[in-house]
Amino acid sequence: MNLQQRISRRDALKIGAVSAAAAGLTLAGCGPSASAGGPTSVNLMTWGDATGLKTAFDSIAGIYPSLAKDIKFNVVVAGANDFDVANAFRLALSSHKNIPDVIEFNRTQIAEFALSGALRDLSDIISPVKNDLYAGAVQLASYQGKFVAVPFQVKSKLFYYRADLFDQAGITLDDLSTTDGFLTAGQKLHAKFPDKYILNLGTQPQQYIIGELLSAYPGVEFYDKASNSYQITKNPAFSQAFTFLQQIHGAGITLPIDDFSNDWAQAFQKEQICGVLCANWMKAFLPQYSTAAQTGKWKVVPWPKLSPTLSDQSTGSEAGGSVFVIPANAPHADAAIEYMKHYMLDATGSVAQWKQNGVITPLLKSAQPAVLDFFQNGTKPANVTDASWALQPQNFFGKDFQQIEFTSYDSVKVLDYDPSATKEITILLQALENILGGKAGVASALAQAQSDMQSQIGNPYQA
Amino acid sequence: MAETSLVGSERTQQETTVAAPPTRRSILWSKMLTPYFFIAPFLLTFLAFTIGPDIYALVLSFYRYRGYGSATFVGWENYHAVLTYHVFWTELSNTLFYWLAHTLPLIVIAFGLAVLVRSKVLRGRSWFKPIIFVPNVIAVVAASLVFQNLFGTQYGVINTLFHLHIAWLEDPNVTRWVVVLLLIWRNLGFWFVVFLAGLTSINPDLEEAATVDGANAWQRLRYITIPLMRNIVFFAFIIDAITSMSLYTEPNVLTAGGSQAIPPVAPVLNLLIVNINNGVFGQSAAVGWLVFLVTVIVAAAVFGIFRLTGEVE
Repeated sequence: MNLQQRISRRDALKIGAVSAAAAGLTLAGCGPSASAGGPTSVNLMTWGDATGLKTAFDSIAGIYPSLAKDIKFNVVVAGANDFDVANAFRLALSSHKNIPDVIEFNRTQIAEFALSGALRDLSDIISPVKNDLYAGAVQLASYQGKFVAVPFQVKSKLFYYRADLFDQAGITLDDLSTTDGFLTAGQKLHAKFPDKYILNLGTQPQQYIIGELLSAYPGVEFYDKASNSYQITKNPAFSQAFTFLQQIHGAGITLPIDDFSNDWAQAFQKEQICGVLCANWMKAFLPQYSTAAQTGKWKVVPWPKLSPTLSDQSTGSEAGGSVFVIPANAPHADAAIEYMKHYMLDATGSVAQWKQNGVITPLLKSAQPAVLDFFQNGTKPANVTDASWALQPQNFFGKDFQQIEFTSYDSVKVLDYDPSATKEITILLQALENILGGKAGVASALAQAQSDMQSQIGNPYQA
Repeated sequence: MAETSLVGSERTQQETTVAAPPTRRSILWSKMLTPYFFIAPFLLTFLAFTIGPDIYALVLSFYRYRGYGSATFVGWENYHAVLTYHVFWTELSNTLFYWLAHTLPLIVIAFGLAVLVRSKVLRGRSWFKPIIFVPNVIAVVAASLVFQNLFGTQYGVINTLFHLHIAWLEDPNVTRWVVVLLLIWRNLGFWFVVFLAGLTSINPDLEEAATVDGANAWQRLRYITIPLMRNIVFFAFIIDAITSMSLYTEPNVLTAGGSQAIPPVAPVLNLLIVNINNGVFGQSAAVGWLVFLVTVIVAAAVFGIFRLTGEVE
């Protein structure tokens, strides 16, 4: 029997109708993301947790109803860290598909994309508020003289210390202003409290310590375009910074525990660590590690200068901070720009999102009074527990914390990162691990690092 | 056979004639092609998602490419860069160390446990099987984090319990052995089950006959059980060797949490991941193909050793 004879005309019509319906549904899904007159989808790509960004949008949309009406906000989490975001963006650029409208990056990552022309020029929205932004925020937003990013989170250098233990040991902040003074103070503290240390530093430090130290030096860069060569062994900044770390590690004044290791949090809780040379973001971790039992005992100041051995360490930044960029080919760039203007570039919007999240401090000087007022007089929000409220910076460190943080924003200096910055920092970190592990001296480790950069990267500006 | 003319009444005869039976050749073709139709879904998927990307990676390894924009042909430059990088050799030696240090104890202990559980000596055998297998079920990240807590230097359980101060996770020479211990602990259950299944398939009449002939337990194990299990043991060594070359999670999570392990402890795949993270896809592809080459050599070495000892038919 013939197959064609088996299918009746009725069956053929049914199959045709189903196929047409399926094709229609498929094609409908391929259409533009917003129907005429409806809200425009803005996709923001980030890493880690999306909650804060969604909460921020809701709080800003509450103040500016037109945003809620015109924008449908989606947060896409590309992975656990910023590398995942960079890879997802490279994939999107390669395939010309799924390009997000806004991307959160670390400042170290934008050089590659800025030089390749993948980022939109944001001078139109940054220039009007440039004078209202902190100096560090302006640096975050710019790359090689152009505004290519919206500053999101500035990372300034702050020194957290146990004021009560320093007093008992007879250490003043002036004692820390020189490298020798810092070493002496550390020995004094350890002599007074044998189980306590002025800092922690193991043999596997986090990479941000490199950026924090080097960024204080004027004009330091890993690769010099003019001479087409790496500067690791030529610029004394590298040997001075690494020698300082080797010195404090070998002097017995540091607890041999690395940041974010398993023992780190417990060391704070057991009051073994009395100082942290770190960044402003430590305000979110230190209270949790130390617990409310240490409320009021920790104080915060800018980094000591640590001169003359090092360049003025009260300035600089570990990696600048994080930023939002808008791809040059973003499908909904206008809507994305409109949101950014009401987010971190608007005093009202940035204060509203900060009051909801409590993490991303507004970067506009005009927002400062509102933030300081909340710090001084604010009451516990209903959705915050008592335990969590007690650990808020203004309650844990004291009411003057926020003013200190604001002041530190103007001391931020961003390293002149090249497109291969992340790999260069990885290689430098390996050199530092060899030095602290006693496997190499400073000179030989830096020479090896320079050689590795030359062989593994070559010219970072070469496409 | 019917007439081929189509004139008049002969057409009716033509149309009602039964079709000629299939030829011998068409039957043969049908028999040959039918199996391929059944494996076609797998073959197509394998070609599209394994072979295709592998070929693309091989080609990519000869280019400098950031994943977008233009790709620049660089010849053997990527391979040269990787092979002259001291970190590559350090991490490769770490990978080989992890493989060699954990394989033999793992196979021996798993086999021994399987023999013990199968024997009549042990009571409550049904309890031991799930207990031994549980570590294999635990997620590798969770297991690594637990070991991190156990082996912390300042506040780890081991150091605190025994009043030690061993830098388990700070001294690379010690850390590598902690990784080996984690690998053995996690994979023991899997090979235990495999060996137990193999032992169960041995004909009990053989052992009975040996017992009747006066063989003791050790003699039965050595002259009957082990020879009959040789193919399964060979399979275990080969598979473990291949999977060891692609080790990544345990050393990294154990020593660095969510970050990357330092080179003295890191496996060779770390270099591949670092290059991907930094958008250096050409070098990353080169590392991948070098690791593949090493895997082939290692597998061939295991094969060769077993052939030499006459353990493989």
